[in-house]
Amino acid sequence: MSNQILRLTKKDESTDCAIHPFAPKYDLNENYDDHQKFGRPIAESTQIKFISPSEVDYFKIRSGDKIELFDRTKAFPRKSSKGKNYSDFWTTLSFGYKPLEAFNIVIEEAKYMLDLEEGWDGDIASPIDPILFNRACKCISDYIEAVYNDKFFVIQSPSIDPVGDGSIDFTWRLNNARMLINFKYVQNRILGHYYGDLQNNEIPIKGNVPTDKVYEHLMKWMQNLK
Amino acid sequence: MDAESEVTTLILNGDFTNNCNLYRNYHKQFIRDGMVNAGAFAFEGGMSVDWDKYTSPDECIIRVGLTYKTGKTDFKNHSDFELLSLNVKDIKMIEGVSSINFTPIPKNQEEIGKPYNVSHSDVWFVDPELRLKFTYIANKIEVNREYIDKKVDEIKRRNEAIASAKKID
Repeated sequence: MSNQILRLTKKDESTDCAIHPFAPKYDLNENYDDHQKFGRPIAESTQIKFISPSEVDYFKIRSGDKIELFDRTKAFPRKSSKGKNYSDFWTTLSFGYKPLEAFNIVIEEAKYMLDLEEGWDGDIASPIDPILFNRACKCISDYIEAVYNDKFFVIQSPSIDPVGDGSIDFTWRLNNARMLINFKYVQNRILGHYYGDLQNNEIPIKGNVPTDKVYEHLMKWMQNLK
Repeated sequence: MDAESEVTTLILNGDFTNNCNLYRNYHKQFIRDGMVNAGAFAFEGGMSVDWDKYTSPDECIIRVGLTYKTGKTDFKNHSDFELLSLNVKDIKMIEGVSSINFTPIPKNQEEIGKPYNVSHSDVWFVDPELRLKFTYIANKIEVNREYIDKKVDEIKRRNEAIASAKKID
């Protein structure tokens, strides 16, 4: 087992360490033949969560696999020995940092739109369907989490606004990039129609995506919304 | 503002020069944190605007107050509406805008709840997501609320008097 860990460790050093939040904290030159765990903390801090050998082993095997990005970003539900649910290994590794914390506040503020009645725009605007609202917010949350899991930063939270036809706009207006994703029902299906560019029309992206999963091309572009 | 090259495929049905401005009214619900959001440029088979060559900002809001809500016989509350200005040159630079059409509503077609509007125009664009770009070129226009309120009341009273006179006849 220690040989296997050593092999994976060398691989990880060249591939994953750039985004591995703990890599600089560990002595990667340790002689692993004499140890049953991956490295050891150079300076143990109260802020650093100690990772049990079994958890490290699990993570390293997963990170060494050639798995699809989507699989990597999605949760690997499992239970620790203490019975605590771990929905995502990056979350576990990042001292419990919550990438959706800011966005959840925006969602709470945007819930006012669920109380809008027909004609809220002074004319014939449709009310906002709560299912559409929930699915759209969940979809954006998934993308925010996916970016976080991929690059270990949290993109800016969008503003959430109702549109007169009953659809919902998620808008980013940043200095370096802008994007609008409009969620609406299309033939009883919820689709997100998006447009984005890096201002001045550079690297534009547009199209539509269903809300069922995170699509890599959109998630990669959304990394510009830093 | 976009530094895009001017789109040559844009069709102008009207003598719209680069100095012209198009006024777009929108409900206060579309303001968040002091900024107008993309919902204010909703695509309803063309985006209705008023050409500044034939109207003033105050007149735009007055017309809102004299217009019935769609499919109803009660007037829009003009106090809830604000006004934006879109420069024609800026619109031309937005890739995806297909045409700007001068589509006036003549006086002989005027009726209560549907005022005539010699400045009415439409902006056509392909992708609804272009609404996002409009938020970058839009400038808020201040109007004289006191004058507008007075004028709307005056015209409504006059229209009611005319309608009553017609009934008596």
